[in-house]
Order: sequence, then C-alpha cells, then structure tokens
Amino acid sequence: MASSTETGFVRWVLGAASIAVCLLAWQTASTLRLNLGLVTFTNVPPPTDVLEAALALAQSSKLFDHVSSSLARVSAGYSIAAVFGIALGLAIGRSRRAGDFLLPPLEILRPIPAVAWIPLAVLMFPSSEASMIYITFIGALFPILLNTIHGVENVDPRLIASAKSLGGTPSAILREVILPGAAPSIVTGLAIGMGTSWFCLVTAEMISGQFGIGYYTWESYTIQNYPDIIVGMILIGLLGMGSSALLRWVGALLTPWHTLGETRR
Amino acid sequence: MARGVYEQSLHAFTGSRDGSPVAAFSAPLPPQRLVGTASGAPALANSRDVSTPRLRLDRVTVDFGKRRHPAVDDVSLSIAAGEFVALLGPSGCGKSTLLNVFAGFRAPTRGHVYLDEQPHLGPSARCGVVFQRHSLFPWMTVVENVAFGPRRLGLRDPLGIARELLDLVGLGDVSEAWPSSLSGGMQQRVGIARALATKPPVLLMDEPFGALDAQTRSLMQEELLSIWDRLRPTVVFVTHDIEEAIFLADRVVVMEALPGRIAREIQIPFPRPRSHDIFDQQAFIERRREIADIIRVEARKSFR
Ligand SMILES: Nc1ncnc2c1ncn2[C@@H]1O[C@H](COP(=O)(O)OP(=O)(O)OP(=O)(O)O)[C@@H](O)[C@H]1O
Ligand SMILES: [Mg+2]
Repeated sequence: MASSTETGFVRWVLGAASIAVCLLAWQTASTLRLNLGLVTFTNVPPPTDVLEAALALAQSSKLFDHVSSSLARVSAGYSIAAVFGIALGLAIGRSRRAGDFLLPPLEILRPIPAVAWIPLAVLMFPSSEASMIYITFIGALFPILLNTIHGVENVDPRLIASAKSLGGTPSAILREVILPGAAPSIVTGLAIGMGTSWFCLVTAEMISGQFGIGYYTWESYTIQNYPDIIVGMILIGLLGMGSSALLRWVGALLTPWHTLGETRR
Repeated sequence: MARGVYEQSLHAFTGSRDGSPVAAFSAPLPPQRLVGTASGAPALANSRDVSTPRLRLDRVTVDFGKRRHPAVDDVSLSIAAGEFVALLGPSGCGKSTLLNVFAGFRAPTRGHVYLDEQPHLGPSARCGVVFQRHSLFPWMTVVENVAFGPRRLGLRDPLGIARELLDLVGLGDVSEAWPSSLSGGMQQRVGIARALATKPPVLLMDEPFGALDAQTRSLMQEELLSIWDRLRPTVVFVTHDIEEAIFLADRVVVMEALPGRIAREIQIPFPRPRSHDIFDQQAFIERRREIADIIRVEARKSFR
C-alpha cells in the first residue's frame, strides 16, 4: 500500500515538473523572441502575459457572454444530433428496410467533413446562429449515428430470443433489451460526437460569429491581442474537456453494469 | 409453510385454490398467453397419460440450403405433457436446430409444429428457453432478470415471484447482484429460474450444463430434477452427455447426423426421485452401453 501511494506521488511530481519545464521553455523562448527560422516566437506572448490576459478576461463581463453563447450553440446542435442520431441508428440497426432506405443519403454525406459545410450553411440559414448550430449538429451526428447502429446490430441475438420467449413485445424488447444492449456503444458515440461538435463550433464561430470562444480567439488575432489568442485556446480546451468528463460521468451512471464489468476484467 | 406468490398465482391461473403447481404446469393451455386465464383452463391432474401431446413435430425439415443434407430431415416427434425428454446426438446432428423449432425461433422449411395441438408459430412465454451460455440481461440485476417475464405478462407481484424462484434454486442471497458477478453455475441457475418464472408449460434447454465443471454439473442435474419434480413442466433437454440424458430423462431421443434424423428412442423406466447412485446399477450401465453404441456408429458416419 505504502509503495503504491509513494509511486503515485513520484508520478505526480514528475508530471508537474514536466509541465513546469515546458512553461519555462516557452517563457524563455518568448522573452528572448527566439527565431528558429522554421518557427518563430517573435510574436508569441509569454505565459506571464497570458496569465495576465486571462485574469483580465475573468474580471470582465465578456467572458460570460462568450462562454455562454458557445455553450448554448453546442448544447442545441449536439442535443439535436443526439436525438436524431440515436433514433435513426435504432431504426437502421433494427430494420433492414429502414437501413436500405435511410443509409444511402447518409453514406454520401458522411465523408464530407462538417467544416466543409460552413460556406453552404451560411448560405442556407439566414441567421448565422442557426448556421453555426447546424455545423455542430452535422459534426456530432455521424459519430453518434454510426455508433448507435453498431451497438444495435451487436446486441446478442440470444438476449432478444430470450426476451421473446419471456413474453417481450417488440416495443418492450426495444426499450429493455436493444437500448440498454446498445447503450455502451451509444455512450462512446456521444463522447466522440461531443469532441467533434466542439471542434466544428469553434471553426464555425471563427468565420461567422459575433460572440463565442472561437470568435473571441479569432478576433484577438485580427486586433493583434496576442495573449488573448492563447486564453481562448485554453478556454476551448477546458470546455471540451469539461463536457467530455460530464458525458463520461453520465454514461457511467446510465450503464452501471458495463463499468462494473470493466473494472472486474 | 406459507404459500409464496409464485404458487399462489399458479392457483389463480388454474382457477383452483387447492390445485398443486403440478396441475398448473401439465394442464392444457389456452392458445395465446398465460395471463387472463384465471377463469378458464380446466385443471387436469398430472396428465401424462392424456393422449394429446403437449408438443408435436409433424414431418419437420429444416434446410439451411448450404449443405447437401438438410440440418433436420423429416422428423416427427410427440412429447406428452409433463414428460422429460433428452435429445442426444453427435455434434452437428441438428439438436439445437430442433430446439429452436420447438421454441418458435426458427420456422421449419417443411412440416408443422404444434403446441397443445395448436400450430406453434413463434416464440412465446409458453416455452421457456435456457441456452448453453447464459443469456441473462447484463443490465438487470439477478432478481430483475427473473422478474422480467412475469412483468411482461402482467402477473401480480413479479418481484415476489422472482424472489421465490431464486430461493427455489438456492440463490436468494444474490438477488441484487449483477449477473456478471456470479459464477457460471449460478448464472445458469438464474437462467433456469428466469425461464420458470412465466410458468411455461414447456421448458426447452440447450446443453444448459455444457459449460460447467463435472462437480457443479452433477449438482445442477440433481437440482433440476428436484425442481422438475415439484413443478412438472414438459422438458426438452439437449445434451451430448449420455449419462446426463439417462439420469434426467423419461425418454432419450438419439439423433443421427447428415441428415439430422431420429435414430432411436429409448424409454428410461428408472423410478423417481433419482440420485446419482443409479450410475452404478446394472440397468443404467446397459442403457448407457446401448446408447453409446448407436452414437458411435452415427458419429463415425458424420466423419465420412
Ligand atoms: N444458421 C445456420 N445457417 C446455416 N447452417 C446452420 C445454421 N445453424 C445450424 N446450421 C447447420 O445445421 C446443422 C445442425 O446444427 P445444430 O447447431 O442444430 O447442431 P447441434 O446438434 O446442436 O450441434 P452441437 O452439439 O455442436 O451444438 C449443422 O451442420 C450446422 O452447421
Ligand atoms: Mg447445439
């Protein structure tokens, strides 16, 4: 026991030291305005400036506006994608007919990266708000859809047979066997979808936003507020990380048997 | 001892207050579902001598179309209510296929299946099924698994029925556990309890003890017989273990492969209740040898 907490402590110290070294290297490179030819630190603000800018942003009301508008867009686009992705995935995974009818257009759209939709989305939606939500929707839809289909198709047919021989009706089997059976895979899809929808949102905001973290980051570049660029980057990372953690937590809550199985194995 | 919910609801189901659970299992059943029969279904006494079979295959052929021979070829078989039949045969002779036909999971290519002389068209709660590898729902606790069937059928107090059956198979203490935390033998017992929970007149078992070690296996055989003795469902039990078949069954149906057919039917007249002591008796040894000889010929045939 003692040795395991000891190695835990050592690992923690090593990790912290490594981060400190990186920060120090960055600080040095920036203050010396290091120019390596291929890459230059001439215009890269040092960590101390970034910290200052972060504190300034934290005290201004702009932080809330940017973060809340980004969060609102992601929640809207992502929720719609989750509902559509799971519903379509269940239909396609359960019924060959539904699959034959619904899959071809989806297969054609799937290889198009969500970011490539941005110009068309701007044209299609009169409100830039709607176009950004659409981009996050497209970004999250396919991972959720494909993982749901995969999960549904891989539900053990013996479980379905058992449910039938216990008097399960088709709707009961869908609710009590297919859905929980596919749940671990659906949760995986939701987690991947969360990542892609943040990625797509930030890109969309850089192009057509007025508020939002992506817009803030890009605006900081155009008005040459360089430390703010890095503050924006860090915020994007934190929000993505936070929403993934939230999702993992909810996922584990929804599939307690699954997490149990994993820890046992 | 106070009567549990499970047996009480059996009485409600047969419409007789003093009827034993035996009556419930062997009485002819209404064609559709177990529920809603509280007023119907006359409660016959243990009706093994009643001439209408509980299960009947009429010239059933199952052809997957991939081999030269059908998996099951022109098989006719009648099983009486309350009878314990073992299906025995070499690997690939069509035992599981036949069991799936009985369960309604697979429609025969040709021929007919009857349950209580009514065409049997699909899976229903009247045929409980236990597979070789357990098929418990991983997302339900043990007691929820067993309660699933009663709940779907709208029986009263599904959890009460489930607890009672778990006590019957000796698993009262683990009712709140996840299935994945149980041993193989325990999982299989939960599977049996779950299959019994809808009070099916027919229990279909596909090598249910095949994955268990010899010790657990012989305990499970005795336990199955004691449950069967109390409830008397009609059982079709697939196995490739000759001793298991003789020990458990009233009748052993030996199958041959390529094509899958019935080679012989052998009555097992040993008195019940049986214990593993009969393994040493001369009559047991003779039956075992007789069946082993048939199987050896069949197994060799399928290697050609
Ligand atoms: N879904 C299927 N599609 C094609 N062929 C199948 C299918 N299921 C079974 N078969 C074939 O039918 C034959 C009988 O199979 P079955 O599983 O019923 O045998 P079994 O007697 O249960 O064997 P075992 O003792 O190994 O379980 C085999 O030749 C098998 O390959
Ligand atoms: Mg088999």
